[in-house]
Amino acid sequence: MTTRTCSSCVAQNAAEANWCEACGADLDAAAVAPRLPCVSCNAAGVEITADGWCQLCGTKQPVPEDHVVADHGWFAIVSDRGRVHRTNEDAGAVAARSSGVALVVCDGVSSTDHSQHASQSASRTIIEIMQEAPAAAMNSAQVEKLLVDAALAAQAEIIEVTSNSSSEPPSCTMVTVVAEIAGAHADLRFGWLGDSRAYWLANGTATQLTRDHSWATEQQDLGELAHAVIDADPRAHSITRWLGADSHDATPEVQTMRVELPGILLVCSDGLWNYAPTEPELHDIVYAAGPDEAALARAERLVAFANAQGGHDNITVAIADLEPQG
Amino acid sequence: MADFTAQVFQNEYLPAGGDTVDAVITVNSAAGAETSSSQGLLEIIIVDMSGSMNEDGGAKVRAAKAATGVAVDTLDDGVEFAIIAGTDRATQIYPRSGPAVADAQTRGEAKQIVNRMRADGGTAIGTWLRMAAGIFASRPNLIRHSILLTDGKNQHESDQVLRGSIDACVGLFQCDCRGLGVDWNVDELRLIATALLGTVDIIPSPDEMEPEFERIITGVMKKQVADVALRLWSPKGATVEFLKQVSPNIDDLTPKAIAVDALTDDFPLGAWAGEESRDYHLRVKIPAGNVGDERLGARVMLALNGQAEPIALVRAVWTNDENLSTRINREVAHYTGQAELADAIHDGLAARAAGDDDTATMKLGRAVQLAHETGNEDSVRLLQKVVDVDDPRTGTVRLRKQVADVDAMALDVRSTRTVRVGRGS
Repeated sequence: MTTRTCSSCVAQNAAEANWCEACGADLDAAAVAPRLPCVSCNAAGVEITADGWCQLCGTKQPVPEDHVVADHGWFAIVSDRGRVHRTNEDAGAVAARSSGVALVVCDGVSSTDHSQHASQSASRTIIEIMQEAPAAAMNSAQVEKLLVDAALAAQAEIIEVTSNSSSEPPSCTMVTVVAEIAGAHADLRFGWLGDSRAYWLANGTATQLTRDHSWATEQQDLGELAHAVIDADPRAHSITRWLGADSHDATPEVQTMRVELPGILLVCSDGLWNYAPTEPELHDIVYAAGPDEAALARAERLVAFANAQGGHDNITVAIADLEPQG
Repeated sequence: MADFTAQVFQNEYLPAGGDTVDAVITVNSAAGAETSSSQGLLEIIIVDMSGSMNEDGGAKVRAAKAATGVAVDTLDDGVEFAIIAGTDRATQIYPRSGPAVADAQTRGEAKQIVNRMRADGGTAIGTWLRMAAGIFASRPNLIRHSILLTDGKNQHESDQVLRGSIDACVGLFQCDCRGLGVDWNVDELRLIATALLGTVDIIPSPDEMEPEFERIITGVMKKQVADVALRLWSPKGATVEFLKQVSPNIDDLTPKAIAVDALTDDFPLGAWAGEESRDYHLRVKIPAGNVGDERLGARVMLALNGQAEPIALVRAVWTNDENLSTRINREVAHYTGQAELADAIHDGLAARAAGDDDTATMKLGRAVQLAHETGNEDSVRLLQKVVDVDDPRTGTVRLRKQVADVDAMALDVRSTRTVRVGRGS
């Protein structure tokens, strides 16, 4: 019987495996790890092993997923491992459309096996669909159908990469915003599952566009428990909807909102909003360096803010500065 | 050929500035396609024929002959073997020189000659070992194992000669040592067994020799690969504080390190059966990283036939989260307790022998408490022959006034046997 040895954790995997069953490393990618001076001891002539450890001081070398940046000038995304988790299970993607922009953030559920497989597959699938969608202006119904179709395609892709033996199949949240700019206003169409959020910031206020699919939010809607009781409950942050093989319904909640420009569109995982849970708090943090900050600088600063607060979770921030046209 | 796998049990999270990484590593061998011994075996039986074996109306000599016969009968066809009689000299009884190959004829010849042996003379164990080493040296590619039986102390050569002989045998063969009766020295046989990667135990009475020899040979016949070593890489600036085998018994491997390069050591483990599992407790000190850093504490490899395969990683992650860094790993805690148990028994018996009853009571009481807590029922049973237990949970005990030598020796010699976490005895 031939097996594949994971070069990241040395576990034995079945010959046909693509991902390590034990640690989740990509069995193909790990074998071609870069050989650079060690980030810690920087010793000359010392090799980094194929599994990413310094052969002299033993320090684990950062992997690309630890800090992912994409900068497109007026929109950008930063995804960061944070200070506590050993892997970045968040993923996200951004892409220009002829009349606007699409932003996607997915947050892997850390209690599931290798949830980064879910978040990476989902964000990649969704952004590709948004890029391939017709360039011509779409009406709300068309965009809403696009959002649902993209989420269902992402769901199918996650099931494709899920191991049959997984008792906790990889799953993730998803929030996608498509902004279509027309003159002095924009139509924001957004779909989501779980507790990653989208915000619109303009005229001195922040507006939360999404409404968390979480135990806490459901209890608030029922109105039977006091807020303090809900917040103190260990289930408060449990999400009630998600993408993954064990999701009972992968159809996202979809909404539309027309906004006056200019303003800032922000999509993020709870690694950020946990440190600024209310709209006023979030507004103050986003504008802490003034109104003219570039999208990438703002996203990096927000990630640094979350890390300074403890970085207890992975942090992903996507930002688009929407300006009036014509 | 056996395949080796490993599991690591550790809390990898260290507080800021923390530099000590503890891990329990379970190493398993899995039988390959071939089920029978694939490497070949040379077994040498070293049996004490000193004058004291004539005591008890010759029962010891008769039992030694019968047990040696059973050992020879238990060898598979094709296994190489030899028999040495030990007195103040060493005499190769069978065959005349070199090893014989086991078959019906050689087994018959060997048993006939063994039955004609006569006990006479003194005890010079180092000389016995050196004769065995000479035979083993001619068969470096076989699994090389011996049984050493003695009923007495090493009286006819100096301690220095014995130590020198043991040193000369290290790496040449493994040796399981058995002491018959109560007139032998536990520390002496433990010294040999520890250096030669073997076990030591007491055979209280002659009639227990046959089953014990059969049990040992049956175990040896299952060995498939010789000269396995655990290879440890640890980072620059690191110190291996200790590497102990902790299951099936405690054996400190730290002094046996053989440097491979500046950062890598080999620790010889001897021969392994096709399906065998042993646990090791590693403690390594490494330079502290920054909060958020992750480093290797050790890379664990299995070295065999000059090749090394990585089997496990011991990691360190620095964090400010006290919930993580203060977690106690169950396996590490368990074996730390088993090591303390062995030390408490050893210290308690030493104090008892020196007449320091207060220290003996305290140490053996602590031993009872630890054995009880960790489910080491065998140790509880052995301790109860030396102390009366009032309350095992608090370790409240009284020293027994009358303790048979055989019970104190059995407790001493078996004090390093451990149980696994949640797996009973």
